Amino acid sequence: MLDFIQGPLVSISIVVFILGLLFQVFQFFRLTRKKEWGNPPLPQPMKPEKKTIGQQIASWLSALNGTLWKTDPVLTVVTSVFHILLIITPLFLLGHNTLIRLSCGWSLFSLPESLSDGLTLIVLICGAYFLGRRLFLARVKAITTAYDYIMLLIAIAPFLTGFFAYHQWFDYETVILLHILTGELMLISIPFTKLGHMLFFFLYRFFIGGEYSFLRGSRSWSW
Amino acid sequence: MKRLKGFWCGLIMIILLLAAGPPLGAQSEKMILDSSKGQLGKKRPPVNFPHQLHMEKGLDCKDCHHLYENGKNVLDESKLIEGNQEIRCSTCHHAKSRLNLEKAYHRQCMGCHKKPLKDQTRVPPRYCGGCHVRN
Amino acid sequence: MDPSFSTQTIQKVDTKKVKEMLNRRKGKMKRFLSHCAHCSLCAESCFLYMKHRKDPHYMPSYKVINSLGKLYRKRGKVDWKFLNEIKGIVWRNCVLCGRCYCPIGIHVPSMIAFTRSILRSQGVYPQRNEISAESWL
Repeated sequence: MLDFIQGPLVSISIVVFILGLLFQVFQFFRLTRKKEWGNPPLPQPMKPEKKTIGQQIASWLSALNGTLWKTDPVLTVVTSVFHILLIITPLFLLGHNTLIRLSCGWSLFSLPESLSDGLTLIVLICGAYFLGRRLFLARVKAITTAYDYIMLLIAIAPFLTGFFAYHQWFDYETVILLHILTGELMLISIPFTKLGHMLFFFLYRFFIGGEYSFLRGSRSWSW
Repeated sequence: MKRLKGFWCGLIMIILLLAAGPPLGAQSEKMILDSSKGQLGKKRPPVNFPHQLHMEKGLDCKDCHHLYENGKNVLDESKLIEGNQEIRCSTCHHAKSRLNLEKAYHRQCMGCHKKPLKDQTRVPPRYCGGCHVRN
Repeated sequence: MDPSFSTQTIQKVDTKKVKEMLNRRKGKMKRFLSHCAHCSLCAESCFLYMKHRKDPHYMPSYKVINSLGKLYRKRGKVDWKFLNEIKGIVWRNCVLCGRCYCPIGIHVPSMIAFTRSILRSQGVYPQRNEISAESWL
């Protein structure tokens, strides 16, 4: 069992993760098609006036007022930091990269361990903030089910156990095994659960045409 | 779970053997393998390598200590004496070699320590922290 | 149940038809439903939510989860009573202005509109006397 978790299951979870994402991308393009019509004509932007650097920065900053920054600045910062670190921290972690280099002969560069440690802590704090919102904010509570708590746990658990393992708190062997197991669980669940928004954020907002799409998406749903 | 620690100890021992193991248990029982003394920069806590324990487990000197020529380990065991600079791991596995000291240790130790648990009476450490123990 | 709905006589629901409609667009709708992170960031973009003193029942995500989401969870096996319960959500609590904003890119109006089509196919829609009897906004 132990051998399975730290051996084949690692490869299985990575394969499921990648194939699952590819499958979802494939399905997405099957379900959408190129729009035949163009975007509705928008008023032509006025001729760009010459701006000083200060005005340019001011206009960029004022553009933020049209975003979530205006409605909920704290959550905007927390969620941005959380999602960026969620990807970066494990990718550039020394321990991971040492193991990858031993088995593949090549790996990404690693951040200093103390930095990774701090980033992990930030991820955990952000996770705690999300948990707090779920528990105490009426509007989040209204749409929260047990499933949401489970998914939050699945996303946070690898970082929590990784943090404990790094500091070797509690029984190291147990913690590191849980770390491996929860990491695998997260990878496997990404393509098939609500964590799929990791992929579908980009598909929805870059490929589907609409008012809020980045880069003028040009696809629409077949149905 | 506790048993896994033994595995890592074994791993450490192999490292030690590589590093400076003298023959037939003449080596001190425990050795400290400290990466900060190398060119690698200190990142993880140094490894406490129980050389004696690895020999008790039935490992042969030349299972770890090596000098390869045409794929054969041609090391002369009589050279494995404490204090002999020639047989130190870092003599060959220096920063510029293909396998630097860190890689050499990791390969040599994990080669055994990552093996399946079957038929093992005492489980040696198998994960990073099992050897790189934080105090 | 809202008393204003009781004026209509109970009708039989063609669950086969409902199921067929749900299946037809499930590729899009089930993905939207499953990828909703339940973050509630869509709330402030809804003027009805803001106008009702930030009552969570008017959040775009709440409306979708409790109408279309329930239809999918029940796999279309719904009765007249249930359809009338969600009628208010998709016609009274939402005016399909299309202003809702989802950071992930879920298109809420299409989901509400789809729910309306399903209800309408079963003859469930606001009656004239209901609209005058209560404030729909």
